[in-house]
Amino acid sequence: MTFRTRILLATVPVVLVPLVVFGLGVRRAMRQQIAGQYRGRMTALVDLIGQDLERQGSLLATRLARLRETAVQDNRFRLAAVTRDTSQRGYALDYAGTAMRTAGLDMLQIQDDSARIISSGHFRNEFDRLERGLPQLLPTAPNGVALVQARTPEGPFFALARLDSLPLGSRRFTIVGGFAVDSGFLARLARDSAVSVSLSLPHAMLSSRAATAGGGSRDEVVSELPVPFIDETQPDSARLVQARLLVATPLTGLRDLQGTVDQWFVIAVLATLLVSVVLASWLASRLSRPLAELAGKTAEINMDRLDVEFGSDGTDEVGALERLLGQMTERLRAGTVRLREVERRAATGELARQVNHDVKNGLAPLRNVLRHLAQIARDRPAELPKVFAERRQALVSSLNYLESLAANYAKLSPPPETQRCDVNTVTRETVEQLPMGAAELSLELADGVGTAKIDAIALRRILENLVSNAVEAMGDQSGVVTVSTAHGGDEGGGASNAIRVVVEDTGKGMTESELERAFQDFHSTKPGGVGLGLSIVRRLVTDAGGRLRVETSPGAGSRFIVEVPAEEGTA
Amino acid sequence: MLETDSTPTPERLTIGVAGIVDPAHAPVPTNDAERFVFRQVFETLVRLDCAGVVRPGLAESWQVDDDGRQWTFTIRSDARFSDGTPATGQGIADSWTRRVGPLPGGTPVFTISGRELTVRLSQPVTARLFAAPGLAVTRPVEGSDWPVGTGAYAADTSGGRVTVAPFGATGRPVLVLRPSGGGDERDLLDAGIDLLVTDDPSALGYARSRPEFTMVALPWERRYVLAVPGGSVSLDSTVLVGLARDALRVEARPSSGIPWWADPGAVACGVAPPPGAPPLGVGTSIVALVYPAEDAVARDLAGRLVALGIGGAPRALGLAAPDFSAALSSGGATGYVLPLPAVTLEACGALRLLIARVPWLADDAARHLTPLVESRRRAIVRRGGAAFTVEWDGTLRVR
Repeated sequence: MTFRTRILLATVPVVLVPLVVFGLGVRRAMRQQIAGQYRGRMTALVDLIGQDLERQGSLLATRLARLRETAVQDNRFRLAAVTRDTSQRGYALDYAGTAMRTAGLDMLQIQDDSARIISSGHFRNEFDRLERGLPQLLPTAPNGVALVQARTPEGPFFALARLDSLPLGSRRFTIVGGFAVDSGFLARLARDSAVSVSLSLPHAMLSSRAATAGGGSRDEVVSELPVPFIDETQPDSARLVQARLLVATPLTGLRDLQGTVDQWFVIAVLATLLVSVVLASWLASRLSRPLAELAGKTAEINMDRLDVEFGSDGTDEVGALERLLGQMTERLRAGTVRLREVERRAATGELARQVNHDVKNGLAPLRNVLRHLAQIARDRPAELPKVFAERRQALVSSLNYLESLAANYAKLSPPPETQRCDVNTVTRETVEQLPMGAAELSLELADGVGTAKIDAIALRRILENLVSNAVEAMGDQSGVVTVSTAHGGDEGGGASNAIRVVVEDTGKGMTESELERAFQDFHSTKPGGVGLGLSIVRRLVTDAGGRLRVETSPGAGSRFIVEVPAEEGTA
Repeated sequence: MLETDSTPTPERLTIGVAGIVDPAHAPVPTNDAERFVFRQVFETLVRLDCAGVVRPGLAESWQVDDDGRQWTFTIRSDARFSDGTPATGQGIADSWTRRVGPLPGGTPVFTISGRELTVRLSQPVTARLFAAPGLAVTRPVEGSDWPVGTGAYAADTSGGRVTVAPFGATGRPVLVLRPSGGGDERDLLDAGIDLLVTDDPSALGYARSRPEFTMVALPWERRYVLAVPGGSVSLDSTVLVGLARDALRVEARPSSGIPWWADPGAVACGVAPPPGAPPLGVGTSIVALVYPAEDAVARDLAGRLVALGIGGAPRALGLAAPDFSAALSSGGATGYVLPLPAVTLEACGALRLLIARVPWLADDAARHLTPLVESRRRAIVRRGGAAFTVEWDGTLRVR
């Protein structure tokens, strides 16, 4: 997993987790607040409904009391009810109907002391029916008010009823009056079309929705209110039970609001996720790019490639790391040079010892033959020709041995494999990357210089050494370092099959002795210098089959001319 | 006969009747207003008085031969249509031929001789048949909505108001109709109405308290029955008395006697259900005691029957006239409170019309129909007004 991916993966939860926690908290608080307001509203509505029912009960009591006073004063009704005067029976039968309409009631029935209906306002022709449940149970209902199921010719209806007594003579009649509880009544209780009030009875259900338009949405019960109900389903076993007024609302408004909160919460999370990803990408890129570049440079380093430059002006950790890598590379470069020198010296010493041994082996017979011939010439000169002739073969054999030895050692140095490179390209790429210090670089690359038979790395190292020396030769003084290329050998029209690379500076130049020492190994005029630069240059140029010339004089600067073989076919 | 004080006849009488007069219905009425107007404008050969006695009408006399198959009427000498043309035997024959199909006694064959019109039938009939409104004599007039009749009046409905004016120098008053019903009929009395036929106890009580009005009971004209498609219901006399006395606010009495649909003669006339009549119980899912919503008597009867649990119907259901007719025809309800005429001129024809309206009665009308009560109305007449004749069906005719 890349460093960039890790930064991305780390940033997203770091941003998202607090946000989600915060959002969930806000969402929960808002939902609770909204739901609380709804509950409060419904509670207030239920309280109002309860108060309305109480008011209706009080209003019923008032109207029944007035009806009672009127009935007591009505002599025709008294005649019909008490004395059962048949001539007044029709009047009595119609009495409740007239009184009911006058009192603004929807239900009214007058019953005698045996609970027989003698006059009914809502069902005129129901007279003489026994109705024991209401006189018995209504007084036991809380506040004397209860829901009842009244009858009409067209069918039953529900009414909020209460009872009053009507004393006539020695008999006590009862008056049961009520208001119709229908969908309109429930709608008036609900007040708000968004709220429905339903009446749940043991065998029936009545809702305000039938009286209001737009009841298409599904209501949910949010509160309920108990209401006493006289259940007369079984004719002879009426009982007082609890009905329920159910307050319901679609809750769509609440759910819509909560849905909006959820929706914006999701949008905020997604937006934050997007921003955090973009930000994390940018941050990861900003952090990882220098590291990737550093890794790329580091990957280029090996024993043969220690010219990678690490330089950074950054003050952060990556900059410090790059500088440390640069210093490490410098140390590695110096160590490599020393190691190579040690290896070269060790190899040279071993070779020298082998050569010494082999040469000694070859010289020993020669020395012996020559010592013998010298002894003969001194002691027996006459025999010298004869002895020489006898020992001549030994001399020839030794010489042949030495020649063979020389040929064999010559084979130990295999011809280097020739590489090709575009001189101008390598020169431009190399020189432009080199630090010039206070010096000014002048790059004069001739057109069509072409390809040289030299490895690009070798040419690069040649140029690095020469240009570095040129810059250092000017010290702190300003000057110009001119690097130029041209086709052809010696200036003025040398060998045409060569490419010339010239590094020229306007520095302090060198004396002849300084020039001689300059090409010696381990000679350096710079503090901390290794002293291998020009030696390496000469060896690389020589290995490429080229040649190196130097034109210098004290105070006039130096001019290093490198000629390398051109690729055949190059103009 | 209804005759008030012998003061001079006023020039104009305002009559309160329910319903809208449509000349297209002439001469067969469909409501009280048409019945009153048509009875003034059109005449039948004979008429029945309130006691059911046959009286001269367009014919001043008549003879019956061949056991009731041949009837010879002598047309009144002064009989004229309201446009002045004489009403002849040919005119009567033309009127019947134009409008009336076969009579209950068969297709009539006319013989005309001067003022005598002989009607020959294949079956014997009674003289009551010739008092039927359908046999009133009319003659269409080109360019007029109203046909002309031979009565003392001619009707005019131009201007949206019904005016029945006498023609000729008869000294009869002009009759102006004012619709009643739907509102408080006491307002009509206060507005100066001269004749009001009603059963509204409030209006009757109010008129009783007003000395300028007198009241006359009209014949028992309507009989309410309980029609049960699935069978029959038997009610004892106590229930019937209770219905008439307590359940209704109009003048009523328990139904008595043999109703016309149970008349052996009517039953024997051989009615059969019309082809294509729907089977019993098909066409509606109403399970209730159904009554015509506009009929207060039927409503009270239905309510009381429901209260008593008679017929097993859980509730009463009032239906407007078209819906009631459809429901009655289908027979899908538990029962029907049905108003029928208390009397009819020709029981067999009336039963045939009833079965056409209620096909499921065809198997045995008497079994499915239980008589409940009979009701009647009263005429409230302003004293000092015109004299009226009460006819067999309770219709008043200005003398």
